[in-house]
Amino acid sequence: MTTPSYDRTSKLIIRGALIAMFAVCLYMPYAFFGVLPIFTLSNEYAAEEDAKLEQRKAETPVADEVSDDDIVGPGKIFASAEELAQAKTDFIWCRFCHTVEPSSVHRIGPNLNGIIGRRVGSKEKYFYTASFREAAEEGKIWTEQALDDFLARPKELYPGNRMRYDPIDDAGKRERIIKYLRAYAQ
Amino acid sequence: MGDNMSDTSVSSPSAAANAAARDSALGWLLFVVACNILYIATQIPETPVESPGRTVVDKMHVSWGLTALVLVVARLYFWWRSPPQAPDPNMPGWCWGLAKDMSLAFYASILIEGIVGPMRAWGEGYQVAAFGFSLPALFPPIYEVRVVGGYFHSAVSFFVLAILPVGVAGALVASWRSKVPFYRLFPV
Repeated sequence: MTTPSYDRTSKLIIRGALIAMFAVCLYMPYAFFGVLPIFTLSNEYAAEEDAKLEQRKAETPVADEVSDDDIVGPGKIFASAEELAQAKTDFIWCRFCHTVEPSSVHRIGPNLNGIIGRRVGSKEKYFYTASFREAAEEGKIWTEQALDDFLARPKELYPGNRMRYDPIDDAGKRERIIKYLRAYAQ
Repeated sequence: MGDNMSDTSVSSPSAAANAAARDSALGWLLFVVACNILYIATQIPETPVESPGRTVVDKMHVSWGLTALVLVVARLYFWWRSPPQAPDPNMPGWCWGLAKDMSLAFYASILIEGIVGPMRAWGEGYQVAAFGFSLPALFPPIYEVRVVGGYFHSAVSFFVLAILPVGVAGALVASWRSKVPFYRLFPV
């Protein structure tokens, strides 16, 4: 058997193209999903914020497993079962990137447990973009109003952040998402 | 790799033909399985987390991924142990080179996916199972492994997504230029 000669120029072009293609693909997860292969070993505010969260939980205890009866009804987080169902639907797309359970690891975005009342950019190990790190240094807090502003204008308030999700123009939807976080992520 | 290797089991012409048929069949099987996995992977961002549909999509993704790992290990073993398939006599050198390089890049990326994928899953605490048969987790959930493994699993899957159409297009061009049947050019 005689193997056809694979000349040097063809080899260079074909293998060069393969390497270039691979290099472009290395960038794609960031381009499409905003994910980075980076983590931080520690967050200087995490321990303090975790302690504050434990204190908040002690002051207003919430059951580990939230049942609908705990959060639906007059004077509770959701006025009706329909509103809760809609909130769950609204939050479905957030769940692709965020966990809310206390012991969960971060997905593409940081874990959101205890986010309301917590310092911005203060979760252990998550690699935040510069604008979130600056906000952490300034001591900004995720209040319900701050979350509402962020969901309405994410790129404007935190330039360069990696959340690949369009601003939520519907004020009612933003309100339901924040209520969901109050109900399930505290 | 296989160029300089010899295998006594394929020294006769009929054995060589059988080996070529086996390699070709394995290559095409991998091609079909890889297309299936990529289709399933495109359903992941479309299917809400924690829905019954998502569980099915995740399980299918892992099951077919492990199937591809087994197939690619076999294919690369034969690539390493057997002499290369005989190219058609009128095939230009660059056509055969293109076919081999594209195929090897395809197999190597499937192998990397098959190794990094379970590591990423264990890093997140997911069970790795193929059609109901679970693999024991080699390590506990480790966030760092999940982050780095997840990124590279995704990056290499983009490469597979790119190399399949590029490999087919390259094979079509080579087939047109050399008059060699398309199926002899990718995957080999």
